[in-house]
Amino acid sequence: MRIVAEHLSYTYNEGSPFAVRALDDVSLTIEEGEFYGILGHTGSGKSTFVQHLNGLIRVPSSLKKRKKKPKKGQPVPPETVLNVGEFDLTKRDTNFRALRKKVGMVFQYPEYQLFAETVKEDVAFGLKNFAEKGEKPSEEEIGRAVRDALQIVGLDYGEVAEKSPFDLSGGQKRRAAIAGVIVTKPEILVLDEPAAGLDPLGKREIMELLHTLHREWCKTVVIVSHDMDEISENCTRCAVFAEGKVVYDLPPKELFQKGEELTALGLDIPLTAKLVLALKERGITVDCDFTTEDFIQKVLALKGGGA
Amino acid sequence: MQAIAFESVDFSYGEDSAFRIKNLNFTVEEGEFVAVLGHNGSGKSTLARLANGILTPDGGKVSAFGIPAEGKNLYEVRKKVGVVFQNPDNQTVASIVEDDVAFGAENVGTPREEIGKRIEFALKAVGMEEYRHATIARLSGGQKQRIAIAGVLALKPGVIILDESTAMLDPRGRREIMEVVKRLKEEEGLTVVLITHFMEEALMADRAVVMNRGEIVMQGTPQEIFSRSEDLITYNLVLPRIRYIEQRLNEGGMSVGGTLDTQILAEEIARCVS
Repeated sequence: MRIVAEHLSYTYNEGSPFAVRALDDVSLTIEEGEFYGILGHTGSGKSTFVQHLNGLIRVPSSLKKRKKKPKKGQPVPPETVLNVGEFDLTKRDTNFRALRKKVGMVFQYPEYQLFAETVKEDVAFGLKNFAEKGEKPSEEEIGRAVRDALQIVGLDYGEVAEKSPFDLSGGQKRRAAIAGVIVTKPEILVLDEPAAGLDPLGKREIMELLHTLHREWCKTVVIVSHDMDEISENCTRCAVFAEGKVVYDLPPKELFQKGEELTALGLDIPLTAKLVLALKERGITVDCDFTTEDFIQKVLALKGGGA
Repeated sequence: MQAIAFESVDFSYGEDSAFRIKNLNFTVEEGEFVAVLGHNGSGKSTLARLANGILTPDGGKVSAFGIPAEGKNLYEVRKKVGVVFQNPDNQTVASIVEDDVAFGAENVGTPREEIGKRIEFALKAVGMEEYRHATIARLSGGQKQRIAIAGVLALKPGVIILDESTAMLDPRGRREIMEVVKRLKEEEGLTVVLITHFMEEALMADRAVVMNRGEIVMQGTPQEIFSRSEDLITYNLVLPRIRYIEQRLNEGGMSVGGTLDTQILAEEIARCVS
């Protein structure tokens, strides 16, 4: 499923003194199969954008209100396009339930949303609720799906299934919460700050888990992150949001060559990019893709060449 | 004077809890800036909670500025040892900034005129004086955490403990907090204990302490700690990325690093390859 957004705008509290324009004419395409990163400051519109992807925030034209006719003499605004695979999110008759099954959304600190008495029930909840009328999955099917989901997130079914989710450790809770989202086999998995608040080892494990999911479970993974190192190490492509607009949409290798521009936007850059910049000032060019591994290899190669 | 002193402290969360602290000795000198590192569940937060008497030890003695943290002294100790926790949304009690900052000071019976001065001082110290009459709900996470710090400062503590206070903030919020901490240390001479998962933050400290299973397993300057990479990995910590890069380059036959500073590392790489 491909995500295509064109001329997407959104204003919170429209028409009130607290109106905030969160998205301003955003156009962005995310191809199937990407491990996509979305960057930007708090308030840059990145969460508003990802909440559109499974219809948590609706394009106004998909709601029941009549379409507003533009006033005479004013320019007609360009038509908003928002397609996720075969779903047209600007239309009223789109099956949003089917869409949400295909686009899994993991919020920040998803472990705060655990609620059931056992891990098994918690993970099964989404699966039961997404079932269309008349085709309720059997207990057996549910059992199998839950088992698969727990297994892929790295939890031992036998050990945790009957436990209360609140008795798990922090990292385990987050895995259980992710299992509850991926259990419906979404094609696109969107995660808001998946590694926030974990200790360094926990962070690394979660990123490894996302790669496993990307390989074996969900075709497309979209992460929202503040951590530049996380983006440079993991993503195939990324977008930078600033004040409701997309300022860059590039692979990390090209994006982080714009170290100075990103710094001017008040954003951090990965450590590798800082080093590349500092070396450039000293007349040394390191042509790397900004992953730690590649940086080390390229620098060592320089040394080999110079010696 | 020792701001915080633990003398052979024992502690456990009950009989069947696997975690326990045994015979822990730990001191923080007045004016010192100490970073506490360790993976989740290593005992960092327990240390913070013991230090200001939220938890009481099963054995041994905890004291702050020479006052033992027990019985009636507890109130005195809590005035001396301020703690700022992780979640900015869990630490506000009032809806207006100045009321929230005053809350702690009011509760220990600070005279009214004095409270006004304290609010002014505390908000200025965290750079939030313009927000005195603002609604807390409309502030950013970093601003809320600065208000939480101001609330602690209004009590005029001798030592401030930040228990992963930047964990839930974005990079800008984290920078704001670290700048405030640095300034408080330099200008007010405040003693700081910084509990953190961010190795980069720990680099600012005078001394770093690593905890594992309720024990202090490493101590030294941050540079010393981060040069012992194998030990760090044993304690389930990861190296700061810059240290990792230095190490790999050295393995590849270069000789760089040790300072954990980007500019210096670049300089050294430049020297090695030219």
